[in-house]
Amino acid sequence: MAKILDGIRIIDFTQGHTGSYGTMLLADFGAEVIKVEDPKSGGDVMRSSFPKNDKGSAYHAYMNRGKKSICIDRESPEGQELIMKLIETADVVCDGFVAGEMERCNIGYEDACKVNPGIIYASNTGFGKTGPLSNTAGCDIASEALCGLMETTGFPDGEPTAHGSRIADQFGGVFFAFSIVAALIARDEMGEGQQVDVATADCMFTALEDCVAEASMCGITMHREGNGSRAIAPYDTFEVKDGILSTAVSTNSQWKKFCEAMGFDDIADDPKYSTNELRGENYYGENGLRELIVSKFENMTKWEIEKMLRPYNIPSGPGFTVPEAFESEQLTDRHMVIEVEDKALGKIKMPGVPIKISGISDTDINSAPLLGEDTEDLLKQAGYSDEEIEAMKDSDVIMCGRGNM
Amino acid sequence: MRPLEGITVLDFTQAFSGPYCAMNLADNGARVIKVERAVDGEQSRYWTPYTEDEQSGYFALYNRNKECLAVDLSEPEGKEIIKKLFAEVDVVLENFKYGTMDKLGIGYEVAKEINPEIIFASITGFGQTGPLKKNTAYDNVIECMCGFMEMTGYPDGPPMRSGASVGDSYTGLTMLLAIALACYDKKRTGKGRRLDVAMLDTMFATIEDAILSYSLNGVEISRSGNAKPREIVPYDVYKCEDGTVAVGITEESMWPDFCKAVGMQELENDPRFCTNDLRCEHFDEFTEIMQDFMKKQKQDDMLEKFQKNNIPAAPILLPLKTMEHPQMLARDMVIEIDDANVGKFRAFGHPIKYSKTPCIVKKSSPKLGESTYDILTSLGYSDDVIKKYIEEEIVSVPE
Repeated sequence: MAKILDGIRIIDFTQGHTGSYGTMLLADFGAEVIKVEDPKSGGDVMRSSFPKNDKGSAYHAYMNRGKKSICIDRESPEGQELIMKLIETADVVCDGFVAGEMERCNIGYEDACKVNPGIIYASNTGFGKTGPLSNTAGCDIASEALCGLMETTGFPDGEPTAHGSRIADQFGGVFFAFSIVAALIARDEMGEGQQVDVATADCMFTALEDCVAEASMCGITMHREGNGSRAIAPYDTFEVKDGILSTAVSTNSQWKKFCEAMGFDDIADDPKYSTNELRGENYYGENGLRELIVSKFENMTKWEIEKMLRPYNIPSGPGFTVPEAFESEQLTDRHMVIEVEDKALGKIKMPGVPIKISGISDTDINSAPLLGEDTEDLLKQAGYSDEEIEAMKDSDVIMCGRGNM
Repeated sequence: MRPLEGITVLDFTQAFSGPYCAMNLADNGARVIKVERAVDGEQSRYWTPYTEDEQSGYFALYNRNKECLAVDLSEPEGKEIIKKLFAEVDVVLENFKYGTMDKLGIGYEVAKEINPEIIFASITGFGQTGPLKKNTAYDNVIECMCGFMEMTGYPDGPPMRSGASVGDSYTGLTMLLAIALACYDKKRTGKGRRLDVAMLDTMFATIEDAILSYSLNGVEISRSGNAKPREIVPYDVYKCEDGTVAVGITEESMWPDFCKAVGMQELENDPRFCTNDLRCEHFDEFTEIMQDFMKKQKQDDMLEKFQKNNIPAAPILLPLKTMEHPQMLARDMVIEIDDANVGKFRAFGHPIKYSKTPCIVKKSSPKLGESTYDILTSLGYSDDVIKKYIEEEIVSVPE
């Protein structure tokens, strides 16, 4: 089945989560992503990252699914020449190195442009390729810390807290993928490529909701509010008998229904709780609304609570454990848990494609590559003879992994 | 020129997820016509912070570069205006509850009938399919259900929600990519598409650690604070004498440099710490050593040492301070906008730095109904009809 980015070739130098997630999404939609890996360090760091077993890493199997792998030493002149040959045939070059690294290896934008003026040269780093931190490598928590996100997350009496997923890297990755598609659209109009520079800290900074407006207009940053909300009460998460559950009651009519569902007949008309604002004021503390809800919830399971609230259409949801998510009809119906036959690990379940487009398959996903498995094929395609390939292998300019399996 | 110039988006979204998506489309050059309720406007016009005359900073922040058509979608004349626009736009974007656009008589089937090349994009909590599709979603419900909250917080504390409702913004961002893909495809194939992006799907896919750990080894994992003791060490937040530093290495080659930065070269080959697997195994011991050391250090000193050794590190900043950070300023990530609703204020800049097609703020957030008159005129409505519609509150224009 045809995919949207069929025919788009990406030479991908990104390593680790940042960048790789972006190029994974592009591979999901049909781009030929050729990951350039360094054979001396064992390739992408994700190949040896948690969760793993003796056959390989599931993290790598997921983040590099559908990509190809070529092993070239970018330090050697022969390797650099080879990389330029590849860039000549490509639409996009991606990297996640600090400023100057690609230029140092003579494979920077200016070099690439000379052999391929249409090239889109896109980077995704923690802090960006300009500015005082452009020579500093980044990581997810550093981006979350710098952009203000951590300071907004956590309980009022607790510490700033990192998100449970690498969310800044995720933002950076999706913005990165978008910027590449946008640059492809622009290339069709302009007839030329360009450079694109995306920093995860910048990306995450644009998603702090009202914080930036607060800071600018009022000179303050509102304090962390835990799992509650300034604007809505109850809006909270509860630890119940077998896990956790969130619920949100915003309008007065929802409040009436919530009271009916909960059997709160005695407080449904209590003036103390008659508006959203008052419910917020009387929420925490002894004899507060939260305490009432907790005393009802704590002896119930999340599924019992969900069953109790659902007929009243109260926004609520039980926290799925991963095994429950794998069984969840909602996620499986939407192919959000897919099984991929990985070349190293065998069958492995992983997150599906989060974008659903009519007429485009979201289950046709290939394995991540073995290290260097495409080196030989790609070099032959680029016109190198068997002898030349042998010679480069011998001088460690390239590494050829196990061939087509 | 900007990358998405020439693409017109009819944007019905409200609150955060959709407007964030549409703002990025508009920043990248798309013409975005924001459709708001006549007279009252969109709900986020009433969200804090406010100016003295009760204009919303939240709205100003996330609705720049958009035009505004204020129209009553429950009236036949209002629907007629929308149907005429369906014929002219490339993309329809909406984030109503499942089925709302259909109920209004302006759903995908109607739009496709009028314009077979239309890209019709829906952001919802649970998607357009599956048994939960009709459920109402709030950010906290999704963050809980997908497993994200279980993974956020400290091992001995309760699960935590994002302080910035990332379930909303991350889903809006994912839709941004979906729309770009569909627009790129349309230019080649002329095909219209139905786009379906759900908060539960996008957020579920972010907790890959937990998913893959169970998938590969049958092990269920939970939150681990700011650290990643199963995956990589050092990677944590440490308190200094006068502040806090987030620091983490991302590859083994950084370990010797980390030891150098903290002036403890003896750790490099310590049998407890010389490989990542060993450091994960001895996480508690390692953490104790680091905490003892860091609490006696000055924040700025440590940041400088980490930077000098190319170790990823940053201070934990209040958004207020982020807006003063030299890196953010150097990258034009703080810009001043003279807004039609709130006046001059400082907003975030554009996170994508294109060398040839830079994003710009061409105009501020719109006044309610700012473009109503122009749009209706361009659709062929006469002044008399427009006047009548305004009187009947079928459409509205600024006072």
